[in-house]
Amino acid sequence: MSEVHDVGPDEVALRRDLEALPFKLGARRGKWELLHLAFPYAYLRIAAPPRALGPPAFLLRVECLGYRATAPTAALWDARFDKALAEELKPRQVTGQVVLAFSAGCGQCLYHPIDRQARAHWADHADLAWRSGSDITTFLECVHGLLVATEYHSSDAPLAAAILQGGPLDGAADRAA
Amino acid sequence: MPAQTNDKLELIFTVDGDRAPRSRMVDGGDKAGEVVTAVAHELERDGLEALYKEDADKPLQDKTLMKTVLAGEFAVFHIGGKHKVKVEVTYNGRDAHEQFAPGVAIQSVIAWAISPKGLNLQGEVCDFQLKLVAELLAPDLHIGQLVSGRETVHLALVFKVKPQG
Repeated sequence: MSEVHDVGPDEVALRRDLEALPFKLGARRGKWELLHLAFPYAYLRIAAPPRALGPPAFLLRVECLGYRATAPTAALWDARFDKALAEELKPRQVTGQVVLAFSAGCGQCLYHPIDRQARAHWADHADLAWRSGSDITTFLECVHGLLVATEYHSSDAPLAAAILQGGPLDGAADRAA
Repeated sequence: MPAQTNDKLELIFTVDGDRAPRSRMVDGGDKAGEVVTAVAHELERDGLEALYKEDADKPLQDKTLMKTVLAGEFAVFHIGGKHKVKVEVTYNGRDAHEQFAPGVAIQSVIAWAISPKGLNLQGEVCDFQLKLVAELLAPDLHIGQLVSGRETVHLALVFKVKPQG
């Protein structure tokens, strides 16, 4: 017997946006790829620019409860262990410090005003925050923009951390199509 | 390669004055001018006169076949006026002016703005953003999407903000 799955308006909205042209256009441009959707979580591969030390992509887990009325919250993820990417594997600056947006500044979230959990950490930066009209593409453009910035210098994360196949998430590939 | 269904090819494009990207299936034998006319008619829009490949300085010739236009690597196009878009960029009290074809992407405007031809700034394109009033513009947005006529676009160049919490 198949499980009964009540689809709420947030999941309906997310699935609609994942099927929409702006999201697909970002994928066609090679910026991101949807790997797995198990609402409220979406797992996406975010392309990273070439660095002397660093993987070609990171896995991002985005939690979308209350989407779009509420901002998502996200973290770089490790597919091998189905948990947040370890601090020592995160994108680093040239100084060796973790790029602030990917640090553990607010726990398991993106430490950036666009993230639901992190928003309260900034009194201003309204132009960077989630707003009316923002959607999953807005959020992903932000994350991709953080990775392509020169602030990101290197990472010890292996590519395997961004590949679902063979990891705990494998076998549940529920692509949004 | 472009998405293909039988003899149809997918054209992904934007139009002047509209933020939403669009998709349209076209025949390989269609001419660029015919596609522009069809889109302008469907949208009931005046001023949509030419098809541009993203970042191209000049429009495609009206007689160019779509199978030629859409051959090769994936690209996004723009349908807009034949005139260029006047852009003014300000940064720390300085400003620079230039005219761009409507299919030029924001990241290319940034590249000009920080170059010696613009404001001659140090840094990489990826470290800057352009703002339209309070809105940060996505790097792939086409400058023509911000205008629906011959108005000048006033943009502010800002260093990519790195919130410090």
